[in-house]
Amino acid sequence: MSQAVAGVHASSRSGRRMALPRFHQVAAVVLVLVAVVAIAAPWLAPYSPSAQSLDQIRPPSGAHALGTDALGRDILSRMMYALRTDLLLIVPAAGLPMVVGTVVGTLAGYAGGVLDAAVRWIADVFQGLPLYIFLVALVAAMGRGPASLLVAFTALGWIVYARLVRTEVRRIKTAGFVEAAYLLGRSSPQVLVQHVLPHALKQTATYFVLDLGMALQGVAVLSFFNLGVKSGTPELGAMVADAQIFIRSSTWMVALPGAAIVVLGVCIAAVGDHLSSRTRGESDGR
Amino acid sequence: MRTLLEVEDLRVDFTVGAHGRRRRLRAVDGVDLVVREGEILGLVGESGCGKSTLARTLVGLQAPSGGRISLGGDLLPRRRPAAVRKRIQMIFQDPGSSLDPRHTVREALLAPLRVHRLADGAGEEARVRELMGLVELPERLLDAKPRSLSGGQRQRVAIARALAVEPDVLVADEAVAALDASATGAILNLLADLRTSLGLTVVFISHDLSVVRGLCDRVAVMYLGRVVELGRTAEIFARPRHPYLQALLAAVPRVGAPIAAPPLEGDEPPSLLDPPSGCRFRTRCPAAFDRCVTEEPALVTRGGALVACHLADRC
Amino acid sequence: MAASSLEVEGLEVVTRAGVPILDDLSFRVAEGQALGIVGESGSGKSVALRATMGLPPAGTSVRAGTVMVGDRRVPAGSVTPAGVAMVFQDSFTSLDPTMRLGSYLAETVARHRGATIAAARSRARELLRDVGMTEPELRMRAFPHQLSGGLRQRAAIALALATDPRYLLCDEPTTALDVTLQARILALLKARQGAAGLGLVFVSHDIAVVSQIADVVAVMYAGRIVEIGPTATVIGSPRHPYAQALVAALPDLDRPGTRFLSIAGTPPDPSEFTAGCRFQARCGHPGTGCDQPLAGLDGRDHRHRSDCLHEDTHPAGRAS
Repeated sequence: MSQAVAGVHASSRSGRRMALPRFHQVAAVVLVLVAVVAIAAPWLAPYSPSAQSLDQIRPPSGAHALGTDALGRDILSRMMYALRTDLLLIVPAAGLPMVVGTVVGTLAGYAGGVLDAAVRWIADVFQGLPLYIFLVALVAAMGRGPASLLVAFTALGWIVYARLVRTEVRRIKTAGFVEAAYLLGRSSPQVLVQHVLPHALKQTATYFVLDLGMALQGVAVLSFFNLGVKSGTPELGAMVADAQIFIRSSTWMVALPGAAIVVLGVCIAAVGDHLSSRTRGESDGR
Repeated sequence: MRTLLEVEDLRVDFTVGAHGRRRRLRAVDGVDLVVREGEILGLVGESGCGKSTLARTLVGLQAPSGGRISLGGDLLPRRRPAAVRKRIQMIFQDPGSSLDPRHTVREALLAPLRVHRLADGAGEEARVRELMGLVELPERLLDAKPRSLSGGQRQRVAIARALAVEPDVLVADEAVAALDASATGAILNLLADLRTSLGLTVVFISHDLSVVRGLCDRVAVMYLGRVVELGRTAEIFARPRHPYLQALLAAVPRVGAPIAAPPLEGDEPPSLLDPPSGCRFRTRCPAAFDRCVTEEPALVTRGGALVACHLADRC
Repeated sequence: MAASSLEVEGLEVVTRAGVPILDDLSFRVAEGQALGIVGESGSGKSVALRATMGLPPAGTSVRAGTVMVGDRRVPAGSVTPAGVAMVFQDSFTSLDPTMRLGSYLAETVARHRGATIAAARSRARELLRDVGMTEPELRMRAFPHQLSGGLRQRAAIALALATDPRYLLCDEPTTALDVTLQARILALLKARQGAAGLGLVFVSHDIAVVSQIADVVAVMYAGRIVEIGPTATVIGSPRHPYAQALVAALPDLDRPGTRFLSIAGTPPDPSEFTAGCRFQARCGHPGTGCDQPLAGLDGRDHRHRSDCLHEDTHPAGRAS
């Protein structure tokens, strides 16, 4: 116990003095590169992601740096576009729960009373729902596509943020500087925006990054089971699923998008972990 | 001296416990108090006696359940608008949380000036520097964040921030309890100086009787939500009439004196949920007798002080 | 040496970054004796106690030092020496939140003495009565969070005494309490010291409290003992300017002054510790040679001494 606390303390110290430790730095750089590639895919990709050719199932070569798939599409181009698809899915899938949860948590924490009790009750109900079963049910009801994913992730994801923000708001609400701001003439909403929310948001940022990882996993898994994006859309999980029958003969077709998912997930986790140990260190140490 | 702040029959209730078993806890129960202009009034008592609740109610952070609070003759409403709130400011116990860690000292001092439009443009900066001078802080600290300040410096910034709106009354709730001995002395001197230079009126809440003794003109002693003795500090500390104040004073550690366990019965003050009948102090009072069980002693004048004890004449 | 004693020698505690908080601190307390340690926050007084118990604060480690209880010697910082117990300022840390007070106390007694449950429970009841609880049966059924701060602190003391320690280290045990309760706890500790021959090390920032309980006082500043001696002598005629300032800053209930005395400035951070006198920046009358390296006083020697080179030149009691 004391070891763990000491570790957090030390890392928060060194985090303030130096830049990010190396692993996190690398991970952050990779994520930035991925974002750039995703945004610039239309200009960077050598081929159209849907352009088919007769060169089917080719290993990496001069013409196709990462080879081609069963329909003769360029795997490199498809992966670039897949990053785009995935980022466009996971950023809102992690962001919308954060926004909803933060708003709900702030109101519940600041107002207290009946509203707070109601929010807690609803949160308890939603928390009981298992993610993947809920997702499958929702997709069945609403149909496949980004909207279903977004609704499902938001329905389950807001709870964490709401709880976190509510706790923070309740804690900060009674801090001297918040009460002083009220006495000095700020109205309650002004106090909330100026003094309470910024503190709560620092914590949610960490969860947002970690949730990106969860969303990536969720999107990939659903697409793998053909419940996510429409078939033919370049998406990492779907690419793995499409290529799995060739896993013995043409391993690269599965390995490349699979590896991309793993690398992305690890980088997100590394950055998220670092952020979380830093915010925890700050709130402990100060 | 003119009466500035007047509290009449003030009551503050809280509900505790979950559904079904909700009970009312009366933290402040019928307090009458007068704060005179330019005085420093001490408020002492053990933890749980209601002194902090009373302080929060005075400044408007807690709505009273009954009774009246008036300031300079104006009755204060239950929910106070900003212009009324600004007239009674508060200094908090924890210097660590009394300033927003993200804001510099300058930002902390500018905020109240801007809310109430008390200064403009160039005047703002001049006023901020003037406030720093009032609390004897060097101007180079204006761009510092609270993290880099000591506890005593933070408490000075908190005082400067409160003074920015030129309040009529400053309520200090255990303002030195978290400070080291050396910083404590400096803050107490500052409060005394501000009273002299600005004519500031201070309500000083503390559990430390030595501190109260040196700073306050008058003291109110609270026990289980009520005032049990009130008078000039020098007088009631020299001749405490209520057995509770006698016990408190006996327990203060003194250099060169042996340890004296206070002559109190039981090991704990009774619960506010179930206060004793008659005199609330009787369960711990070494001198309690029959009448204390049945009849609540009123606060009566005895030799220049107010005392709530059936034995007030005998002491 | 007549009475058996607890001796801490050459204690060195450093932060993760290797910055020393304590360098070469030694102190001693005999059975039946009370050693008081006073100083501002950051002086290292609590760190010294925790390191002695083998529980250095988070983010620090013990680099050197030994603890001797009687004739048994253990290295400091890794083990809790047998026969030594500690009471913390925040009693929540020493009680198990998931257990009723009575069960926890009885279990501790049973484990320590090898007693039966019934015997252990009756001993627990006795311990709670000893620390001033008038209804021990009622308190034994309570969980720590159901107790008030004062009761919890007394429960923590009872728990510390449950292992029949010969030495008790107290880290600001009454700072968070009301004066009435503080007086009770001081009386209780004093009685234990006298009757049971308990050796006490009592750390506090409050000189008045320490003056009442301690036989010997050590004044700590910035990781070093700067003055030590019999209580009456140190408080009656302090020699070190820091000790003089602390004594002068004491608010006196019986003789109120118009001004509170205080020491300008703040204690240095460990990263700013120098080899010379660490108080010179705040000293009212620094002289020549204050930069010369000082060793800090050996707290095993209880004769009245100060670590100030110029102690003879400044008049006692006249601090800034």
